Amino acid sequence: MVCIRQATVQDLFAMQQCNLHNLPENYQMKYYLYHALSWPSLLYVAEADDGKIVGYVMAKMEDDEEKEKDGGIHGHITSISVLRSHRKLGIATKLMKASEYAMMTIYNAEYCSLHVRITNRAAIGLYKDVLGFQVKSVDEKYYADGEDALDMRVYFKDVNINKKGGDAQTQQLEEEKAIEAEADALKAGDEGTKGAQTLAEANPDADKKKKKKNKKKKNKGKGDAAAVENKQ
Amino acid sequence: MSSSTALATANFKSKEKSLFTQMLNFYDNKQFKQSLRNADQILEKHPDHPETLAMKALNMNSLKRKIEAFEFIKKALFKNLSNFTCWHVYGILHRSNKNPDEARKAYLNALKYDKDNQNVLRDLGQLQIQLRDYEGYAETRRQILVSKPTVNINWMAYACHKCERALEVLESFDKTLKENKEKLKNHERTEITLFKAKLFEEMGDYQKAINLLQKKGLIVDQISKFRKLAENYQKLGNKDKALEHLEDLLELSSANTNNYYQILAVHGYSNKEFKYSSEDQLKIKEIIEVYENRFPRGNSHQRVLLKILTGELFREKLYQYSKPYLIKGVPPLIVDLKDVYQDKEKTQILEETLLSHLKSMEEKNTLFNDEQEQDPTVYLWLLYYTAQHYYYLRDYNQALKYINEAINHTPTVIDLYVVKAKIYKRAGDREYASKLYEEARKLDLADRYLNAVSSRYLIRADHVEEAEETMGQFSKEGQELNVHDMQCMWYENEVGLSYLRQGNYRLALKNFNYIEKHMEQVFEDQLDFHLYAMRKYTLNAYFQMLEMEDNIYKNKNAVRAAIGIIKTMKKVDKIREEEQKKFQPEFDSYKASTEYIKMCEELKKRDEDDEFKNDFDPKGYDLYQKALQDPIKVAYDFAVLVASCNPEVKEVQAKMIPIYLRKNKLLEALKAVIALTERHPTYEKTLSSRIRFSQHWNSLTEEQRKQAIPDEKLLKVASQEFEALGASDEQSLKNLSEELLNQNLDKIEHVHEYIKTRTVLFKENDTAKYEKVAIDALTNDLRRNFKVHNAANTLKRLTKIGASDVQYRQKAQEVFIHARHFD
Repeated sequence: MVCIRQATVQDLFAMQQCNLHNLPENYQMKYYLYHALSWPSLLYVAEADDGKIVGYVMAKMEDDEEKEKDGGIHGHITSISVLRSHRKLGIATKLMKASEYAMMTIYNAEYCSLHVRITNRAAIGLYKDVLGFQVKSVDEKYYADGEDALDMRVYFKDVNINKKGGDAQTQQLEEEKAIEAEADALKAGDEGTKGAQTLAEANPDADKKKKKKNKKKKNKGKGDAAAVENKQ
Repeated sequence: MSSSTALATANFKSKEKSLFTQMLNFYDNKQFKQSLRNADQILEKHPDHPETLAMKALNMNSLKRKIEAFEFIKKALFKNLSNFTCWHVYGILHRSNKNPDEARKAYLNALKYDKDNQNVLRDLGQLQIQLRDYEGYAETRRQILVSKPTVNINWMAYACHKCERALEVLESFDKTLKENKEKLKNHERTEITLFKAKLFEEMGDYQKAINLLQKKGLIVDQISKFRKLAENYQKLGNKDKALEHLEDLLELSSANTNNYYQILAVHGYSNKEFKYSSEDQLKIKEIIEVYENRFPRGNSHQRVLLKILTGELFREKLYQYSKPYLIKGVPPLIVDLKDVYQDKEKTQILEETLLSHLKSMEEKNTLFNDEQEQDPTVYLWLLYYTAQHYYYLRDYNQALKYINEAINHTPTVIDLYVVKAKIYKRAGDREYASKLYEEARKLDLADRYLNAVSSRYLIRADHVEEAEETMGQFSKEGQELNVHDMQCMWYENEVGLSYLRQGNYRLALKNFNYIEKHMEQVFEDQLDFHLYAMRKYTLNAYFQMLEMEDNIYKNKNAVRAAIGIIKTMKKVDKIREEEQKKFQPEFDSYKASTEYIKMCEELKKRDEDDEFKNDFDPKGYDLYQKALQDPIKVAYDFAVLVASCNPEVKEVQAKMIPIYLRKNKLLEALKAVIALTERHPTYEKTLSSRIRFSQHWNSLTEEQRKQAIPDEKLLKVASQEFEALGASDEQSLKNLSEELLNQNLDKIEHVHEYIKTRTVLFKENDTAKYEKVAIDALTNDLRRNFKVHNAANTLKRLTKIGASDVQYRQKAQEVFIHARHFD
């Protein structure tokens, strides 16, 4: 039976393997560590009875000052997928809801955003019809292979998420609708960032660098040298 | 630090001063070439200026001129042994060359000459925690905190080491925050509070943990809060409160089945194998069914009961649970019920349920015991489920009958071909299985799952090139497959095993070696997070990370790779001279090939940072050349890391024993034998490993044993342990091997070990007997997990020792009618 629970660092290798089986957009382990050590409560896994991880969601918060201009504090789904062998059980919906609930209650997020391949109709259907996402814009040539992405968002106030819990909400959804939409929804997967961006973001000290830029000038170089070394 | 810049450049004229500042800025902006140019200009005027020399070394290191950089910094150090900058840079170079121990020493030297230098202290601290020097780390972080108590991250880092004082530090931190009227963000406060509660819990002070968790306004993560409250109340023995919070938890996360098991545990039902008397089952049913009314739309509670109930209770629940799935045609229904197959009676009931539905659908288009007429697709999915059911039972003929019927019914459903391919794969026809999976893949080219699994099937059928092409449709960056930089370890392991089967040991080693590299990389990855996690206040995840990294070789792919490397290197060791002769001309012509020369030129041009894209040895020649010098060492060096992290994994322990013996690691070999004997007494390699070890031990003189285990006490203990294993003379060892056979006459893999032991260890050659016992085993083996490849291994063994294998082959063909191993 599939258990939906918060992920731990111990799950990250399995999440990576799951991602490699399902999606064309893959990440190095460091990027998973970066998520787990930044927003541990936004990562969820679906664990089968034998302990195998058959699905996961990995998300982040965009609460930088710059990004706040873009509609306030919000979460972003970096990557979500469910193994084909376990699709149509409503797992993706439960994973999404669990992560959204954490974004809302723990980080005070106003909305959740994600990118999805413009040709992935089934996934788009799931986000729209079941999870209440709407298309914000089209990001041209977002993916490494040149495909466009839809930038989709769901505002939590619009979908009337039950403050009691993400899961209770899941149950209020018409489950049939959820399962049908999920039929092949995740076949090419939805996902987060493209290759180059991934590597930049996987560098956990990237934000530190930005914030400390002003102070840096005062340093003599060697200290910073060490910091730069850290980042390599 | 600007004052120290001024100090360092006190004797400079203004031109050099500005060059110096510019050099630092260039470096900070990663413009290493420009920075290096400035350094050279300054050195023309001031050839011995230590800070400039140090910067030059740093730049060279960043430009990948590592050896030069080292030479250079050593010279600089020699002239300026009391210059802290030179020592610091010397440490940085060591660290960037993955030599943390030397780096630590260099940092400590730097601190001798500038004891409060924050940058050096910070770098030192990171190294200390990376090396798990908790005491050293605590001291370093204390120094940093004392000099800069207004920086929050310093409090976190000092509280974070494994120190009983962590709570005290956090209390003081709270006070400082209050004094400064500083408030943490909600989620930051949450993390700290949960961490504190965990410390109380670890100290056994559950009430304090509860009090803290219940304080208002500290925790915004309700799920974690309720979970911890329930756990602490349960430890305190307060069942009612524990239940109350578990129910709170269910409200928020009813799909987390662990909640139900915890509720049962509070009620006293915590059997690890979920086995209960029928009386207990009724009680459990009553407890859980309360939640069925509260969460009518979810079905986790039903699924929990399916795991626990047996007999008619199970039949009834199964009917109720599966009906909506049957009507909707949810493909994973049977996959998700895998645990049922551990119980014969429940398996039987599942079969009866499926067959009665099928019959009812055939006769009147309704499910069994139901009036409502169903869509024909319900029949299709029932055929699919039934095929899967027989597949799990290893009744491949029945499985194929149903899946073929399903395909005839509707030939366009991908999942049907997936199951058919699986059946053929397990029945032993890898080639045909791969063809079938390719058909499935071609029905939906945009699905990466089908792409990945089909690639795996291709590799299993030893079509590595085709697999690479298939994988490339999703994982190509420009011209290259990017599986290695994306750490796609399943692929590397499969390719490695395929090359091993094909006798290409060089490429087998190369692929397993990728995994070795990934493990090192992920261990290295944590370095950047020691401070980062403090800044984010994510203490709980941080400790999870330390634990994960400490046990990194528990990773399943690392285990597979270790076994792969041992197999490969043992093989190479046996035919080393032959391989060496073959290798040199191959190697020479490769190095002279235009392919190689072109690749080198391109790599030099590209200036790539990534280890795998910057690989000058993608075909593994250099690696293999080294391995040919001492294959056993290559196997040992990696596998020992995996073996010591996985004492419970029998395959690794058994495979390590001959390697330990070759490396004269007598004690380690004995430990592995004992681990196998105690933990896995029925494993086919346990007895044979024991025999092999005993023979080896007996063949050594007292003096040789002393050499292997110099510590007298240890040797004494080892001798006693060996005695305790019994069977020290050749005859009793032979008896042991007979025992191995007689207790397992119907298990082919045990019989295989028996034949191997008799022929290899006892140098016997009773081929007629071996063939007979092997054929008997095939005839009598009725287990569900009777594996084709075990039967095939035995065939290889028989052929190898020159036994007549005609009859065995015939028998195997009868038993495994779809397998190709016995053609």
